[in-house]
Amino acid sequence: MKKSLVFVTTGTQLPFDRLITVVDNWASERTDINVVAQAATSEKLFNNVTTTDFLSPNEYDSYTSKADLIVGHAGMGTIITGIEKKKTLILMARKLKFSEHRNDHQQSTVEKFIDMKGVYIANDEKELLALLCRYEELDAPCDEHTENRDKLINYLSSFIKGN
Amino acid sequence: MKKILAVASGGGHWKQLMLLSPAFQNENVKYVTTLEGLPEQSNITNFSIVQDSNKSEKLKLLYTLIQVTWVFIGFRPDVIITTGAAPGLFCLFLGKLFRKRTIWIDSIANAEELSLCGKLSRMFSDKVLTQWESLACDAVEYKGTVF
Repeated sequence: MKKSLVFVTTGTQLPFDRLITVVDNWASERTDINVVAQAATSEKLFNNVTTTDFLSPNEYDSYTSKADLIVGHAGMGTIITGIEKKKTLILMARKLKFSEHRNDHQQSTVEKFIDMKGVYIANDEKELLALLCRYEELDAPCDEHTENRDKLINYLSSFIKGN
Repeated sequence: MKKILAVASGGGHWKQLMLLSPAFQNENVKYVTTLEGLPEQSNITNFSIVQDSNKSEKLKLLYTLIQVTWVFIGFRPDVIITTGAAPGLFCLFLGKLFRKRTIWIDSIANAEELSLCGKLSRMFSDKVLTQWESLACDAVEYKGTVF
């Protein structure tokens, strides 16, 4: 049987071992999945997750296209990729108190996406594990071309023309 | 046709710039980003790759500034558009210096306050946009959002 692919991304700048550790523990009991992670500069070793520091844009594109699930930090690159490719997203925000980022902006980012179909937010490791355990039941996002985006595009277009 | 310099660091900044790119599809656009291989994915042929940098890497910042200055002088844009971060801020600075039209679009990731670069961009931008209505004020406008 073909194994499902879970792609984990914590961006390219800073490690986020708190997230990958949960996925690693969960994956230890799942023989039906492969987990690949772009783990930035993480120095920790994981038993059930194949990690790489950095993926080229083409490799990143290939993994995210093939993935059945994307688990990531709340970076906008991760979120937009998941929505565009209609892949179920499970996100956990980096926290300043654990020195996972320079500030707490990822927390406010996740609040923006909390109601979006196919985007699931874990507030801590326990919620992350609970979401992973039932990931097959979760919805995928749909890339709705929003009115708000058109509005911004129209504004930029008239700005360029000098209006 | 206007010459547009469209600047975004790799990752979310670039993704947001791509979502907004229909705004300048009929113009002469040169893209600037920080990650090899990104522009090709969107079939972009006119681009430059520059060093990524942030405030904790002062020497890299200087190198980025030199690189974008080179690109700027070579292209001579009429309008500079950026979704961040540091390389975009430098391009706005150059735009202001040469009296070109400049606009900063702050990332949708910044929901509680403008990014540091966004705040600094107010010195060099004709327009500074936030993607959050709640952050709009006299100097920072809300004109829509990518999502």
